[in-house]
Order: sequence, then C-alpha cells, then structure tokens
Amino acid sequence: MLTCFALATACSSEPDGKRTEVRGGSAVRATPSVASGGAQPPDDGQWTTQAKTVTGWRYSGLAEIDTASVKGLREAWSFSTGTLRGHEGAPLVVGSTMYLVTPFPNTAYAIDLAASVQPAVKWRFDPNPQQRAVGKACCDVVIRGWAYADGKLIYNLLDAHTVAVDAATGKEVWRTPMDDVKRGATMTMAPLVVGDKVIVGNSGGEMGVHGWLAALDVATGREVWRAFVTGSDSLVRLDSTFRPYYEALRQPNLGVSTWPPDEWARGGGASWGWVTYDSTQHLIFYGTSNPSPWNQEQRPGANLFTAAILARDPDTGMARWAYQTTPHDEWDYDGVNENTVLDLPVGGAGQPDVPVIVHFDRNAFVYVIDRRNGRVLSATPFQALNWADSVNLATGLPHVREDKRTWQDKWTRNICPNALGAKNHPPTAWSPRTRLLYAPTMNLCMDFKARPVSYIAGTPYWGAETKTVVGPGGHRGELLAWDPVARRKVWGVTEKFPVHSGVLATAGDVVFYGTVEGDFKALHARTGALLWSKRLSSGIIGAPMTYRAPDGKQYVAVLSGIGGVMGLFKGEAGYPPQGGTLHVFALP
Amino acid sequence: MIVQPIVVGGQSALRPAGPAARAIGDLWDIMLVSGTIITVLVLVAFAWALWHRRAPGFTPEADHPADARGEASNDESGGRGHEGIGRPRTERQGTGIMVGAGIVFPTIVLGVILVFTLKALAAISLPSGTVPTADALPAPGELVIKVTGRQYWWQVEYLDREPSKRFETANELRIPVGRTVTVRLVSDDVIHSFWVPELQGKMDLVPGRVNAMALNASRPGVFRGQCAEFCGVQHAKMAFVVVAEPPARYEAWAARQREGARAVRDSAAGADESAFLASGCALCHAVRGTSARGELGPDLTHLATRLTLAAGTLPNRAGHLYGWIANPQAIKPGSKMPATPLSARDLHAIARYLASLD
Amino acid sequence: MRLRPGAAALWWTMLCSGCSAADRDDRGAPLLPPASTAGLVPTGDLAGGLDRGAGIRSPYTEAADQQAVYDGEVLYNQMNCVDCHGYQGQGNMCPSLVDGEWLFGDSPVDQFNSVYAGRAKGMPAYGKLLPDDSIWKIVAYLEALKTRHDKKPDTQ
Repeated sequence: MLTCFALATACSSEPDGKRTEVRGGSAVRATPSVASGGAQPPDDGQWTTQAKTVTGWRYSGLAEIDTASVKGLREAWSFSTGTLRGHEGAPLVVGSTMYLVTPFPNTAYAIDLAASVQPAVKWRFDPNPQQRAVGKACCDVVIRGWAYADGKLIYNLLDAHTVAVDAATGKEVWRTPMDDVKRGATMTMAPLVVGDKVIVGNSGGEMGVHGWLAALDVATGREVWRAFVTGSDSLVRLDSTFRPYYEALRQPNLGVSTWPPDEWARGGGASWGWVTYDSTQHLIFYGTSNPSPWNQEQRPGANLFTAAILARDPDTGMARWAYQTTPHDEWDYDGVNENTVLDLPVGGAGQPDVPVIVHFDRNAFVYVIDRRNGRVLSATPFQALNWADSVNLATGLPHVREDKRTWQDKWTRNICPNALGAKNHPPTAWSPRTRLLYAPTMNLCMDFKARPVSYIAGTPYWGAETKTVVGPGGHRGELLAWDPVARRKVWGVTEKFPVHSGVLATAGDVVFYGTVEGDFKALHARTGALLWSKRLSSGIIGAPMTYRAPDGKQYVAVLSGIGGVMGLFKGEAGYPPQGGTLHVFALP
Repeated sequence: MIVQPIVVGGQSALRPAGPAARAIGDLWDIMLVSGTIITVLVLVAFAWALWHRRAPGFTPEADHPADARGEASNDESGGRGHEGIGRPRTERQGTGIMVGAGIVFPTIVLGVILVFTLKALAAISLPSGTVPTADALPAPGELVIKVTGRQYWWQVEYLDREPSKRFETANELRIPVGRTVTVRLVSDDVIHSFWVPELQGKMDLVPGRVNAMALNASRPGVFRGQCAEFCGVQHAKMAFVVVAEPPARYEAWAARQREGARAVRDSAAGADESAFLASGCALCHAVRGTSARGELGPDLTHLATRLTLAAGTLPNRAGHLYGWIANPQAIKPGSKMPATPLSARDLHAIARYLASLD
Repeated sequence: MRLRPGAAALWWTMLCSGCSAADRDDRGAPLLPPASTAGLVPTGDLAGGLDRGAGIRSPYTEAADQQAVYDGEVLYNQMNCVDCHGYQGQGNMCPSLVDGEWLFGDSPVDQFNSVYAGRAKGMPAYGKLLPDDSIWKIVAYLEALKTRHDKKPDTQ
C-alpha cells in the first residue's frame, strides 16, 4: 500500500513547474458570472450537477414558475423508488433524461423525460453493495447526491465503493473500492466532477475512521490522488504551496502534533459533505467532520485538520489553505457544510468585490471567508449559540465559553446548538437576483455527557450521551433568508421540526424547500410569504431541483422519504411514516 | 494456593531515598527518640511509684502543714478543722508533679514535635492551590505524571505540552534522579492510595478529585509502592514500582516510550501480532503502533520493559506471562481481566508477541 | 508518468528505507500504522453460520443474578454496544433492544447467538473474543434494560 501511495504521488507531481489547466469535460459547464447578479447566461434547463453549478448556488434561471403562477403548481407525475429509508440528494437532468439513486441498496434509475407517459424508466442499475455497511452508517443509509460526467452516472455506494454507470445503457463501467467498511468506513457524499476527475470523500466520523478526500479519473475510476485529513504533511498533502492565512496553521505536521500519539489515525475528519469549485482560483473547497471520538478528553490538542474547511488544487490534491472552524471540537460541530462560491462587496466602500466563500457552519456561525487565502472576513451567529462568544478575526480562533465545554462522566447542560448543529448538510441556495442566501436551519440545544470509549475497529468510536431540547423560541427549525453582506437575517419562516431539506431558488423569485412533516413549500424570495404548499406522502429531507422538460415546460422535482438524522423525532405527533417517492410538479 | 505478590525494590520508610522521605524519616526519628525517652521516664516513675516506701516517721499529722496559729484547736474561731488548714504536703507535691509532668511537660514536648511535624508536612507537600484539573498542560519544564487508580492496577500517563509527545504505561513510573516530578492522582472507580515509602508519604486517589504530590529521588534505585487504601478484593496485589534513573537514561527511556511498538520484521512476528489483534486482547488493551486501542486495561506498548506483571504481582518473565494470560483469575481472582478462550497455539503466539514489545 | 531520475531515485530510496523498523516519512513524521486485517471485530455472515445453536442455556436470569446484570452493563458499555444501540438500549445507529421487535429472535439463546456470531447487516461477532460467560451477562443486562423500559418508556 505504501508503494502504491508513493508511486501515485510521484506520478502526479509536476516537475516542470507548469500547472495543468483544466479544460473540456462535459460536466464543467460555463459557470454563471459570480461577480454580480445581472447578466446571467440563459438557463439551459438542465440540472447536471447536484447544486446546478459547481459553485454551489442551487439557482435556476427558469422563470415560468414565478410568484404569480406558483399557486397553480400541481403534481404532474410521481415515481416510487422502492426503498423506505431517508431520501436525500436531488435528481439530475441531463438532456432529456433524469437520473436518481435510492438510499441503500443504492439502485440507480434513468427516466426518459421525452416519453409520452411518465415515468418511463429507461434503465435500472442494482449495484448490490455489501449489507454489512448498513450497521456502520451513523445517520441512516442515505445517499446525498450523485454526479454526471462524460456519459456516465457516477456515485458512491454505502459500502465505500465509487461506481460509474453508462448513462445510455445502465451498465457498470467501473467500480473502485475506496475504503474498508469492516473498519466502519462508509460513503454517502455527493461526488463533484471537476474537469476529468471526480472528487469523493468518506464518512465515519463516529466510527474512528481516517478521513480523506480523493480524486478518481472519470474515464477509468483510477485513483489520482488521496488527501487525508490527519497525519503527516505528506498524508494531508501539504507542501510549500500551502499558505493558510493564520500563523498557527503554518507549522509542519500539525495533523500529527495536535493529537496524542496514533490518535490521528483514527481521528475522524471524514469528508462527507459538499465540494464546490472555483474556476478562477482553480480550487475545490470542502469541509471535514468532527474528530473521533466525541469524548474530547481522549484527544487533547487542536485535532487538525478536523472540523475545518480546506481548499485544494483539484489536479494534484495539494492544499492551498485551511481554516479550522471549531478547533478541538467538543460538541460534534462538523465543518462539512457547503461553501458557496460568491464575489461579494465586503471589501469596503469603493473596493472591488472580494472573492469569498460563504459557509453556514454547524456551530451556528456563518463565515465569509476570502477564498484566496482562507482569511475569515466575518463570522456571525445565525442561530442561538452559547458554546462561544465570538470568533477572533485576528487569530481565527473562537472564544470558547468554559461553562459549555464537555467533560467525561459529567453533564454539561443546555449547550446551543446541539450536535446536529444550527444547520446540517442540507444545502443553501443563492439568488443573484435578491442577493440573499436561503438556509435551512435548526434551533436545538443539548445536554452532553462524554463517556470513555475504546477503539474497537468496526464499532463506534463515539463516547457521548446527549439529550436534545428545543432552542429558545420553541420552534425547532427556520428557513432563513440571509444577507451575507449586511450579515443579518432578512426574513425567516419558523417550523415545528428542524428544516432538514435542501433549498432551491429560481429566477421567478420563488424559493422551494420541504419540511419534516412532508410539506413542500414555495415562498416569495423577497418577503418569505408562503405562496404554495403541498403535503407529500412522507417527510422531505432531499433537495428540490427544477428543469425544462422536452415538452418545453418547467418542472420542479423533489424526493420524499423521511429518515436521516430526523429519525430522532420519530414517534412525535406530526412525524410522518417512511416513504420513498419522487414527486414532479408543473403548472397546468 | 495463594500467590504472594513479589517484592521488587525497596519498600522501607526507614531507608529514605529522597528529601520528602527524609523529612518524614527525620520526624520519625525525633518522635521515636523522644517517645522512647519519655516512655523510659514514665516506666521509671511507675516503678518508683510501685516500690517507693514512705519515709520512716511519716504520720498524717506530720504531712499537714504546721498549725502555727493554732487554728485547728480554736473552737471560738469557728473551727476550721483540719480540712481547712491547707492541703497535705504530699498532696501539694503530687499535684505539682502532675501539673508539671502531665500538662506542662507534654505541652512543651508536643508543641516542639508539632513544629517539626508542620515543617515536615511543608517539606513533603506541594504549595496549596497547586492542583489544577488532571489534564491541565504542564508548565514549561515541569514533568507531570498523571496516575489513575483503577481496580487493581495503576494507569500512568506522562503529560506533555505537545499532545503528540504524551505516552502511557502501567504500574511503573520512571523518574530522573534529583528532579522534582509532579504526580497527579485521580481515580476511576473507588478510593485508592498511592504510597511509595522510600520516596514519599501516602496520598489518596479519590474519585471526583485531583490530588497532587511531589516525587523526588536523590539516588538511583528501584522503589516499590503499593495501594494503601482498601479498594476491593485484590487490594493486596495492587503494587507498583518507581524507578529512579540518571537523567540521560530516563530521557532515553521516555523517548522509546513515546514511540509505538516496532513494526514486525518477519512473517513469524507478523503472525504473532495478528494472533494478538485477532483475539479479545485488543478489546481492552492498547498497543500503540497497531490498531489495538482498548481503554479498559493497561497499555501494553512496551510491556517487555517493565519489571513486573499484574501490578507487582508477578515477575515479568515468560513463564509468568503465559500463566497470567492463560488464567488471570487463578492468580488474581476478582481482577477485571477475564480468562478469554485461547487455543494453545494462540496463547504461545500472543505471549511471544507481548514478550517482544520492548 | 514523467519522473526526473533524481526524483525517482529519491522515491525508491525512501521506499526501501521506509520498509524497516520505524514507519516514518522523509521528514520523520509517522506514516499510517500498519493496516492489518487482524484486529477487526468480524461481522456476521449472511447465513449465521457461526451460531452456537439452540441447545445452550444461560446460567443467569435477570431476576436472580443482579451481579451478572451489573457486569453485563459494564460489558455493554465497554464493548461499544452503547453508541450503536443506545445508552438505554433504545437504539441509535442500530435497532432498539427494548421495543420488543427482534429481527433474529427474542429468546435469550437467540440474543446470545446474535452477539456470538454477529449478523449480516454489520452486527459484530464477539464470540471468539469474549468468554461465553461474558455474553450471557450481556444477555441478562438486555433483559434488565427491557424491564426498565417497560416500566418507564423513555421520551427521547
């Protein structure tokens, strides 16, 4: 293994000093201008990557469904996925075909949108992943998205393989084993295609895995590079090009020295969230999970690079910068939430727009970070939080409150936000028309008691008992419209349960999201007024998307099927039965 | 058959090897000498009291003070009587002796001993308010060892300002000669007590509390200690050793302890390691450098460097190691290590592997 | 694959030196610990082929053997059952042990076999690693958890 690893890194080095430009590849569409809201190129009506664009906007230029017409929206057709677990992710539409993948056993469907009677299944692919992966998944046997590139549907299987399926025929093209499910590693994240590579990462921050992010060749599935989250600089892929803004992150081998001996190898930091890409910097941005175990007394040190945001060169995997959102995390505040790529006027009056990423973290701070160097320009609370007072922008470190730290065999009461975070992985949407970010957030607090835990490979390396309580105000969720320049909430719609679905913004100034009870809602993007709502057959934890079908009409699609971490509320009034259905809506 | 724990190293409070033990020893000497002298005096007085005869010609009347004013026989003055004249001479003498020898003398002696005791206490204790939380970072240059008492073994962690330089061992502390080492004492379950007589006094390990003591050895040697507070069925076999070494040798030992177990060199060693990892041992024990990271039993990473097995119960030799792994309950019944089912081949492989962990 | 000769030589030297005792990279920082497949608690196979069968009996009952129940609780915590099945057995990543629904049988012997042999969807097989006595103690504790739950269903 050492040989293979060494050869792989040697081969991918660039001895002649020339950086390879990424060109071509049908997956990299011309991204809309990130500079300003106006002058977007006309929408092609497809949805070829999970967030519509690799910058993570989840914004569609289609305006047939708008604030006036959306009240007439009705279900055009539906499709049962045949599984009953949590349905996350958004269907893709490439050309006239829709692609979706079910939770375990990760069956893939291609639906021909050009057929006269819907749904018309073009093909079905059953990968038969190993059953033993089911018992290693902390948070339901979900799949959070899938990717399309080069005529192939590419996605991750729960048993830690990445598979590519021929989009025309539904036959397997390649399948690459990426990690060892016997050690507790699974894969659930949505791959991102950048040029000729597909970026994937593992899951298992509760199982003591060694977190990593890797790039596979789209054509063959061969691993091009793998960057671990902890370990020596060579494992984490840091070299002289690593230029983090904060002094404390510039020491060598921080992925080892900030851990007790050997603990970094089971330190978690799984990269199970979203990856976004900036073509101007040629960088991918992603976050890493909590450190293992949750019992912080067993891993003194800052625990780099867990609970952090990293920027890497997608061709070589070498890191450009890093920023740790929650050093020495004691509360399960993963850093995996999406980093939306934007240019914002946060540089001061008369200054050009600053290239930033905006990141709503689990820890209830929303960060605006200069994406060239990882410098935090602002860190603002967006939900109730009491684990820290503020973030020191000079050092990047949060000012942690001593009374909200967590300890072994002692209860710490009423920590906000709870371990699920003020916002979990369901992604935000950005509207270049309203200049607002629409974020699905949660308002939960917790009591936390850490417990001693042994590392037994394949069993949880967790070590904590928690009790969840509702946060201040009594509502457990809120769909926020957030102005990242003014750093404030513009409007919010509260919900009884946490808002745990993705969000869609459209040029019709309509924002779509779903609730745990199963209500698929359309809000006015500028005011938050409820324009339309439909109760679906099960709860909604997936991401809505919209497309233009071959018949020329605009359709909105969303998966229903409750599960995921919302299973915490099972048994409560209003919690729906399980389901697994794709719902597609259109105007009559 | 009762297996007696072995004795490795010295355990006599009368052979102090460090300044704290010497302070205790000096106090002991003062108390022993003064106690002996006083005991002899008391015995002599007692003997005198038993055999002393009254002087010839002693009469009770002669014992009374002289009636110079004739009040005893003076009825007109109201008759004070014999009782009123004054206490007998012998009684006055006796009272004087009691007050002098029974109150004043002991008060002075005990007061002097109290002063010596307080000085000795100050010499063996850390300044009050020293005790931080158990895992607080050591001050620069401070050597801090955190000892956790668990039924029936001692978890020993060497702390460091840099987390990757921490290491853990069990039932054995090594310290450099001449340097004051801070030992933080915590307990995982019940009250234990840390006592290494040749170096220091006793200090309890109390659940929910952090206590701290200073250890300083002024000469190299092996010093045995044991649990000094009844903690359960195997309290008697919960011993440990403190090894004081010249600073250079200590540093070499610490550097080796920081490293993980050596990578296996050949297929036979690999098979032994696999047998260890595939057995139930890894559920409870840790060997750094492998995937074994149990937190319930002693860290075994450098087991072969230790002087004893099972917390001072057995010498660290192959035969004893086999016996301990095969059936710990026969040697230390009631200890927390179960007799796991092992085939003979696995037992050999595991014992060979553990014996190789230097 | 394009390598300068010097770089290639450097890599091969590093590889060969790295094969000896200390696993460190060229800057002295430790590499991954060896990833042997030993040391993993195996998971059960599909057929339940390692089951001990139906003819075994528990030496303990929850009512009569409180020490066994206590020891079982300690084992349930230490063998990492807690984080999967919940601190009160109510379920977490893995099914609830107190809701009365059993996938593989509800008798003590069935429960023993599930722990001993593991199960196909990721339940580890502890049979080779723990003595039978320990597994029976865990089973006794599960009975106690169920009793506790029935008296006071948790509201979590």
